[in-house]
Parts: sequence; C-alpha cells; structure tokens
Amino acid sequence: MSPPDGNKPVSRSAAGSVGSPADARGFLDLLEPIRDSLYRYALRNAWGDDQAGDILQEAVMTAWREFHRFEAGTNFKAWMFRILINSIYRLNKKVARQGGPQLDGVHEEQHSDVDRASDWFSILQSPEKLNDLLDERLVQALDKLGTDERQCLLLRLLEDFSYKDIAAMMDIPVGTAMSHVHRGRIKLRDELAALAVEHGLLKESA
Amino acid sequence: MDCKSARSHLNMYLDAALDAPTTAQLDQHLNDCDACAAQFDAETQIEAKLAAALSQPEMPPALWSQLRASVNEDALLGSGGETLPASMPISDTAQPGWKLPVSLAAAAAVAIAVWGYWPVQVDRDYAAFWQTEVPTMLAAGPATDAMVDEAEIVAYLKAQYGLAMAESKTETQGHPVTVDFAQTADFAGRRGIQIRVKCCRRPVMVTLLKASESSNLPEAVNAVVNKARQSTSKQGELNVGVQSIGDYEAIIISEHKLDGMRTFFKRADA
Repeated sequence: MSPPDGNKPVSRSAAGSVGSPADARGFLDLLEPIRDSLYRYALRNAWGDDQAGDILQEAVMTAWREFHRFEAGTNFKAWMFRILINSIYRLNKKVARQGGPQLDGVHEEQHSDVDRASDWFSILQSPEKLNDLLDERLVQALDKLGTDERQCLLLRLLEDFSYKDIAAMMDIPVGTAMSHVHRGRIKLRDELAALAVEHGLLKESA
Repeated sequence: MDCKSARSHLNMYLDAALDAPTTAQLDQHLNDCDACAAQFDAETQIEAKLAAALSQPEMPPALWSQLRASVNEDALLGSGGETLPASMPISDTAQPGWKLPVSLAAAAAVAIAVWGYWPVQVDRDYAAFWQTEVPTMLAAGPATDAMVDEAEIVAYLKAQYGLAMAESKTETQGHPVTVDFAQTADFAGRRGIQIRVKCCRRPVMVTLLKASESSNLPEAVNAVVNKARQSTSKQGELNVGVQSIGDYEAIIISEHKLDGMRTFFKRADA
C-alpha cells in the first residue's frame, strides 16, 4: 500500500466517471447558486409530493458522475436542467408503473364549492389575502397545463432559458418549444380569467 | 402595424424575442392604441406575478446538506458511493494531512466491492493520535463547505440523525454552550459528523459516529474511547467523553471539563 497522501486527488475509477474531492467542490460551487431553481422545478413536475427529494438526489448524482463530460465555460444551468428533466421523466414513469398518479388532469377541481365560499369569506375578512389566494391559484392553474406546456413555460418564464436551450433540454424542435410556451400562456390566461370571474374581479361578460 | 398584427406578436414580446424593427413598429402601435397597450401591460403583469408566485419555495437546508454529503462521499470513495450506508456521509473536509488517505479510499472501495463492508482494520499508525492529531483538529477552523448556520445545523442533525441539541443553560448544568459549525470529517479513519461547539467559550469537538463504527476504532484510539465510555478520560490536556445516543455515539473532546456537554445532545423524539 502506498504511503497516505491526503492532498493528492482520488484517481478516477476504471469507468472514468468519479471525480476527486477538488472536482466535488467545483461541482458543488456551480450547483449552489441554482439549487433553489432545481428544487422548485422538481417540485412542480414531480408526481408525488415527497418525490422532489428523490428526483434531485438522482439528478445530482447523475450530474456528478457525468461532470467530467461537462465543458467548463458552457452553460452549467442548462446542462444540469437537462439531466434533471431526464430524472423527472424516469422517476415519474416509475411512479406510473407502480400505479401512482398520472399528472395531467389529476389536479383538476381540487376545490369544492364549499372551499370557494370559504376562500371568498376570508377575502372579505382581510382583503390583503387576495394576493396569497391568487398566488396559490396561479400554481394550480399551472398544474392544469400539459406536461410539455408546463415544462417549457417554466423553463422560459422562471429560468429565462432561450428557446434553443429549452429545445435541446427537452429534445424537441425549437418551433415546438415556442408553441408549447405559447399554448401554455393561452391556457394559463384562460384559467386566470376564470379565476378572476370566480372571485368577482371581472364581469361575466368581459 | 394594426391591432391584429400587434397581438400576434404578444408571445414574442413577452419573451423579449422580437427583432429591433418589429419592436419599434410594435412600440409605435402601443403608443397609439390604448386597448392594445392595456392588454400588453396586463399580460406583462400577469407574467411577472406568475414568476413571482412560482419563485418559491427555497430548497430545504437539510436536502441541500444531504446532496452535498452524497457528492462529497462519492468523490472520496471513488465508485463505491452507492454501496455506503446512506446516512453516514464522508467528505474531504478533514484538515490537511488528516484526510482518509487516498490509498485507503481505494482499498475501501475494493473491500466494499468484494466483501460488501467497510474494512475494520485501517492500516495506519495512530500512536500520535491524542497527542498531536486531535489537538490540531480541535484548533482548526471550519472547512470551506462546513455548515456554519446554527439553524441549518439543527435541521440537518434532526433530519439525518434524529438528534436535537440543548436549547438553554438549564439543560447543560448551567454551562453556556454555543454551536460554531458542523462538517463531515474523518475520525481515526471512520466517517462521521464533526460538530464544533463552545462550552463556556472553550472549544469542544464532538464527533458523531455510528455505534458500529465507533466500536471498531483502531486500538490506540479505542483504548481511550473505551475508557471514556465509563467516565471522562484524561489524555494530556484533553478530556474525552462518550455519549451514547440511539444508534450513534458522540465522542466529545475538549480541554474544558465536559460536565455541560454530557447532556447537550439528545434524541429529537425524546
């Protein structure tokens, strides 16, 4: 056994996929500023509420083991999101195979009339709550979009990726990414209009 | 540009993806047409509102700690990462000259692959452990990726180990105890969490090890730890104590007396 030398990097494994502690620090330094973005994206696209952690664990370890393929100076966030999106597909499929929920449509009509009445009552009690309510409903409206529409819209709206980046991440043509965002916006606008009518913010005829 | 044409550009407008000439034409139309201007304004506001509403929550600190620990563990152990116990992260955060030696990491990875467990005997001389290495660790500051936020440390210990810390002096026999930082570290070749606190302003190093690991320490180290399980053991200037907490043992080391520390950690559900 060779003498211990704690400062020498761990040699790469036969598969060439595992980096040294110094690589790990570099990787984590790149990951830290985008961790909240990754978490939110996983949360919005996971089929199970408690699945975001599993998705991130898989995505981060996959990225770490592929990190030697990442070209320094290129867009780390786009590279990482592409891996995250693959992990989401993979784990969501697993949930589906185990008889878990299907995403599209499952979030519909979560609020009964009773809930709406109590929502409205709470607004009357404290009008400043309307903002929170709108925020919450925005998220629900987003959940009603198709998977591709939601993903493209989130990547564009929240993460400010270019259509070219989005297309590369989702493995779809640029035009398709644009139309997903466009359709997502239209559907979202319809949902929000319905919400506004529901809360008397708009006249029915508007 | 007419209204119909202007509205056909809405999507690209929201994306700020229009070319300069089209943007100029559109701006001209929005200046002239109140209806379109109002719609574009509302769309922009909705877009901003949606982005704001969706720009939360933040990643929980415990999850971030867990991800970091997984990556660090994997880095140190080469390809062996997946076969390690999930709840005991290892990292490269020990002080220089104090890391798990590279050759050992490689040997460990092989041992895990071949026998499926971490080797019990570590090929290293620990004769100077208590005299030199422990005082060096005790004097060292936090590693670059140590957790320094007390709330984050509390959340991490609770999530990963089901541990809680005393919240007031009454729980530590009147000794004021503050938390400085926490990091994954190597203790005589065993992976653990090192929590650094101050008791009465004197530094204390607490190393949290799985009981199965702390009962298999190298002989020179074990002799002292075993004695400390009965009562505080004196090693030169150092006081060494051991507290058993569920499946873990906390090895507590300080030049200060350990009275206040013995009751500092507890099971979170206790």
